[in-house]
Amino acid sequence: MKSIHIKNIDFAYKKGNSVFQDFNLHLSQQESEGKIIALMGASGSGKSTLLKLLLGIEQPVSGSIEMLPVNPVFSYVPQEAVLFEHLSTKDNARYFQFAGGFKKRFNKGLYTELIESLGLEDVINSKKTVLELSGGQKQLLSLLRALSIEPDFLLLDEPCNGLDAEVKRAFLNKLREITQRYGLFVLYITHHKLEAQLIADDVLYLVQDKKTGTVHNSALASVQIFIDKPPVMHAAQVFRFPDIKLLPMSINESGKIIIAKNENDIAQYWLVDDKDISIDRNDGFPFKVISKSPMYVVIRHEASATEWMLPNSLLKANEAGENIFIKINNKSAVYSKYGILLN
Amino acid sequence: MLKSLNIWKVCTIGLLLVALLVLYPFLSGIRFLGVSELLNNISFKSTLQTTLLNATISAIILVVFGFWGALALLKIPMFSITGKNLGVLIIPITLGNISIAFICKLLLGETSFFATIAQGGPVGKLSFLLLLELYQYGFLFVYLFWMQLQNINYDKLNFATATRFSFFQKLKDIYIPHTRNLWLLLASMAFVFTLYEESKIAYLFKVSQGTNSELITNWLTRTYQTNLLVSPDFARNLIFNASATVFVVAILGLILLFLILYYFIKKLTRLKFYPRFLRTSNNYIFSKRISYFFGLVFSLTAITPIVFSFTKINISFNISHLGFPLLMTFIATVVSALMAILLGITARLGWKQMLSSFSQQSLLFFILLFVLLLVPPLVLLITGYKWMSLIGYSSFTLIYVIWIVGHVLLTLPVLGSFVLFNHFRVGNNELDYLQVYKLGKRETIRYSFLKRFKAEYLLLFVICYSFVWNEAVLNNLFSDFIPSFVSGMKMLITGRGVDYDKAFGYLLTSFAVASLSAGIWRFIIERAHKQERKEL
Repeated sequence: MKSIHIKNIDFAYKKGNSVFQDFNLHLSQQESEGKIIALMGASGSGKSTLLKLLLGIEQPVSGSIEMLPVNPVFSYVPQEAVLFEHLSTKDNARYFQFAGGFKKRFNKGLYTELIESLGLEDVINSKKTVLELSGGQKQLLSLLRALSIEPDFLLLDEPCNGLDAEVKRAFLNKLREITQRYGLFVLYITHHKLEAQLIADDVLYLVQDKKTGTVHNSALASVQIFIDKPPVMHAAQVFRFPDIKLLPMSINESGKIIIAKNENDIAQYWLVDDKDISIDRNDGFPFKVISKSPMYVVIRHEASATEWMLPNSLLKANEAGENIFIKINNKSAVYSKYGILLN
Repeated sequence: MLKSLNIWKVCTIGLLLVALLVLYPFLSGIRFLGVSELLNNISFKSTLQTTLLNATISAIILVVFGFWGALALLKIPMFSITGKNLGVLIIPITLGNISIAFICKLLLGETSFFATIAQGGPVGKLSFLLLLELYQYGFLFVYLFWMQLQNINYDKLNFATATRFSFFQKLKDIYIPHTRNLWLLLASMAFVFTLYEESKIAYLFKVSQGTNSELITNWLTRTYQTNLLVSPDFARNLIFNASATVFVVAILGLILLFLILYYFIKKLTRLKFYPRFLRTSNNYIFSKRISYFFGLVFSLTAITPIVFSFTKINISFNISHLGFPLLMTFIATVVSALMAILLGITARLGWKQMLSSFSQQSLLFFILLFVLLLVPPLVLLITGYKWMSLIGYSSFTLIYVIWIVGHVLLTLPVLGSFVLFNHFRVGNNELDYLQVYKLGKRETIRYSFLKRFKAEYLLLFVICYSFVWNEAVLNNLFSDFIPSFVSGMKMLITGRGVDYDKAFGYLLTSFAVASLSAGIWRFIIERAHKQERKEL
């Protein structure tokens, strides 16, 4: 079994500006089972910092990080492929065969096998320098080098940034295939739900305190759960993007639930699905049609400045400027005003 | 071919041609003769050999010192308080040759150590000269390497830490490849500067053929002066042949040094050998504490000699005799700086791709520019004489013009390179954007260059001032017409009327200029830091 156990760590780049405070996390993987965990969170929520802490690039101010196996071998694939321009493409790929402490970990058989499974034969055998490779080829080469030492943990930091759609798809498919075939434990940072949907088993979502920006908690669940009922509201915004229907709600003096008009009134947030809403001419929450595109209609609740996108089919007859009423028949999730799942 | 020639390229080439045209009087009426005889001349051959060997060894030592010094400072971040103040390392280079020689004479002139060197053989003198060069250029090289090492991609450094790189691995696969172009440029620069090293050695020691302590510039000057008594034309012809030979040999030497370094770095970085003894437990040899210690040591070493020189003299603020030299230096500086800025702008706009970053292609451009410096100073000296005889010594104005043009020519390679380096910050995207909106040449120059680089151009002006103030060839040649720091110093510290107190007035100007350079540089770094904080 492989595991990462983070206990009560505190970390800050600058004093008084904590990234993590009293943060705990436990990740594990059963032997021989490949596992990919998508590490997600808002920009600046500490995803890359968490990776750096695991890799030993940064040290926590307090707390501890325990791992199984003890002193594990990490492989790291950053956002921009790190390749050495002074070395040939082949020497970049088999870098660990000669260099550093991982010489003994270099598995020549696996390396040869990976060249074939990653489709890199032509790249390796060509006379091209690494500068002449495409973005996708560079990342695959980087992945090949990372895997050639049979790492205990493979850490990838947004490796698909800047790759075009087809190359990205091919890269992710290969990563998934190799993870399963070799039973890897992979932590994969991404901002994109589609990438997570395509390859991850689980999602680890870092939850940032709204006011301080510090991370105290995280949510760990399967990708399916994040799609159906995201455990934290910010994740809902990512997984339902762009068609997210959140409503800030408050309770008025007579105990009736209404849409909150300002931030201080918010008691909870409702997450709603298309199937659970209906349009009415007289009853429900008042919205105004703002604009129309061939696919969507944008409507706005003026008092709370909440904007929704509705499929065009639902509002075919309405024109911009018209008022409509939305009735909510059911909620797929309810979050506290802090964004924590209540129901 | 013609299509690729745009107005900017034409302007750049034109500027360089005008600079070269200045040499025309030297070349007119010259006959190629006696090169083979010259090569059989034992004293010429051995002096040239010594000079080349000295330049090569010095260049290598200087560049290695710069690199290792920078590694020692690696853990000091650019925008830390210490990092911002490391700019004091540029003070020795802005002090200039003559000031350094004078400070050295003030501090060591009376010691037995200095006497032993002065009376000893060439090895001692050249080794001592190397020490002075380490002070003058070495700290600049440390600073430049350190700045370059600060730009290593974070992902690469994180990758190295994550995969537990040893120190040797970092050295071989990150630090050396990242600074390769700078190695080559600085080695070429050091080679050129040390090849024609004349003023420091001439001020400090009496060089002579008998003591085998001449460098090629000393040989050329002595031979010219001797032959001048026989026939001016013969003297000029001989010097032309000798200078042309030196020029060609110097270029070959430079190419050889370049190739040796290039292939050495290439072979080293492609080695598949990673010695275990260079593995360190915490992945680096120079810890943060050691870096700060070296930062302090280097900074103190750069400043201490200057401070101590103040204690050796009765400082008198009688600067009335400095007025004219200061004014002339100011005028020459303005013209030289403007020329360098113009060259930097036209070249950047003319070769948009090539000069967009410090790469292998742009390196060639810099080295070509530095080849201009390989023209032996004596050629300039004689050219100056020829110009003076052409205009008949009668017009002071024309003499001033020649003096100024000569300085433009001498300072162009270094100042032009400085400007071009700064102009890397003008992105091609930006230039394309301005082109799309059809902004004219004037607006492009104003928005992308003049407004942005105000502080850098001011620093360029100050550096240029120091160069002209310390320049020895033209200042010696025109000493009868334009009193200068160099000629004044010659009289005040080596002549019969030795007057160190009065000479110190000249030196104070050098100090002021050097301090001003460091101050402006500090401002530029502070501005960059503010900009970075804004972007974050």
